[in-house]
Amino acid sequence: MELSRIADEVAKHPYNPLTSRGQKRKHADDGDDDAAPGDPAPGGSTLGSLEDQSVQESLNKAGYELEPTDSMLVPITPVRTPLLLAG
Amino acid sequence: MRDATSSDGLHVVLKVIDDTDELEILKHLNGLKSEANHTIGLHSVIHTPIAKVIALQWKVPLDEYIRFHHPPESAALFPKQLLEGVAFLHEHRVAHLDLKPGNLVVDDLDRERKYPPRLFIIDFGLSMFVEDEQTTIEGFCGTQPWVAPEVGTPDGPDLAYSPILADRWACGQMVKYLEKVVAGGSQIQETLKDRLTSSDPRARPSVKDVLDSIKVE
Repeated sequence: MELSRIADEVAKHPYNPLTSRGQKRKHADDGDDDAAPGDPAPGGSTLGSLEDQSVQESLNKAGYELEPTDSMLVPITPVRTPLLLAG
Repeated sequence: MRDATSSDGLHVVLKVIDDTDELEILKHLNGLKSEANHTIGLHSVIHTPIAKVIALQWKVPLDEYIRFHHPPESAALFPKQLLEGVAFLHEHRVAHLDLKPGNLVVDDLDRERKYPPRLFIIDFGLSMFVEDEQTTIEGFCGTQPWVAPEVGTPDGPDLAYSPILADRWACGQMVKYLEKVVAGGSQIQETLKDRLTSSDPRARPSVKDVLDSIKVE
């Protein structure tokens, strides 16, 4: 595998983690499926959102002050937008 | 995820978590004090009306570190630190399942360079507890192109594989990447790296064995 090509691609494209990991987890010795209901959604998923007002109020109460998101910033120089991968 | 500042002035990253093992794994690993532990620090857990939010220590993302900080010579330690961190996870029965450069951050706050920068592993959203390398799961998991061949593809059939052995492959690829992009050299035998990234999962040595090969040199 050409690592420099991968490094360039990773820098350009926002690859997201994916999982279709199912319920079947087994150990070679036990032969049993110890399926866990409600197994994972993709990593980084957001149940609820940090943008939600009630969430932000709880965070503020807990002593956290959120920093502005990028969308609140006004770009002062041209920004190159990464190309989206097809499909 | 959002950056935030805590009341005690710490820069943190807030992340909404779901019903994965992420929180339990973070708590478990954060409770283990060791120089070999490269798990990102869990600052706190905040319960909100609609979700659980975790506050994690903020560090410099690896890609930002590479782009904007001239890596000092001590960045040559990164491949070894990665091996150390992954070996520690596996020793404590955790498979990460999403090892990639994007899930590495760097603590580089020591401007006087008394201490080398230190790698931390983040994002345990796909991680799981395992018994050992014999544990198998089914279904695609990870981020291409940092996914072992036996894991398959997102659109393909669900294949059975060992999370630990899949981690070994990703770790081997990342060691090669770090050596090329950051470290500018290698302390690790080529044959061992090639075995870590073997297409045959059973041919891959444990990450600890690869780490030990450096220590004895």
